[in-house]
Amino acid sequence: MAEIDDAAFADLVRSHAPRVRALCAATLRSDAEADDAAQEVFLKAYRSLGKFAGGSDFGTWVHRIAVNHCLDLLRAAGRRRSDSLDALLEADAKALGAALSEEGPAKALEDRDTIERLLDRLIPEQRLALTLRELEGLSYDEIAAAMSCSLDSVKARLKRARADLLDMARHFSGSENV
Amino acid sequence: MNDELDQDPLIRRLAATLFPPAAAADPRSTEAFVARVMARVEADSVPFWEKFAGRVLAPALAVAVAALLFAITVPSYDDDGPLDVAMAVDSDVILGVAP
Repeated sequence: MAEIDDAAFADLVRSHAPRVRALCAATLRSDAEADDAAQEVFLKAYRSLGKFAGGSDFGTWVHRIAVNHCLDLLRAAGRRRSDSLDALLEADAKALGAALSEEGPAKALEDRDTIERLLDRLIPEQRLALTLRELEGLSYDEIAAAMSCSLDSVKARLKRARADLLDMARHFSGSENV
Repeated sequence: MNDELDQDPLIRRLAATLFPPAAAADPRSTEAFVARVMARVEADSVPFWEKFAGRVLAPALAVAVAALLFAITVPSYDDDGPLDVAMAVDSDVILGVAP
């Protein structure tokens, strides 16, 4: 598929937009940023149509572009451990504890923003691997293909992401609550 | 193949909160998104020289033409011209010198 007319490309966008937009929204959280990122993904795809040999599924190819673009944005934003743990604890400990308690699943939804701050503290590769696993339900092999890394890297990233989340959650909420 | 943390109850609760099932795509929202993408595709397809001509050359040319028109329509200032003599202040009259 070296060339394509605009109507055909618009059909491809229409078909794959929901998945790309959902991935960008789950990864980037800001609605405006996610929408812009999703647009940029398809723009990149359009510019790179000459490189798409047609051997693989177009959706898989666009998804890989989306994964790489989200990763680039996360890296650029430097969304890592910029806040001190103590500051986060002071602000959100009570809310986080309530949100993570077994008795309060509804409370957890209300305090989603609080829990999302935990996600912001993961390094981009771990965060994206976790997103692909939990949001899209991809297998480890599929995640490796999407992120262009080895299966062992995927396993390591997911294991570390989960361990870090558990450590942070237990630290904030108190071990007796979880 | 999952690691043991994958099934940790707290991890499952966190995942359920962080990654709820995506809502069905709204067709109108999708169509609006497609329109935004295609608008950017169209803008991206314009050759560089056309963008340059539209953003730089055309305004510069308009300014140059306006300057030229202004230069050729506004009368020039001539010290020895009759209009200037007629408009000149009669210093003898002002000073009270006999005409």
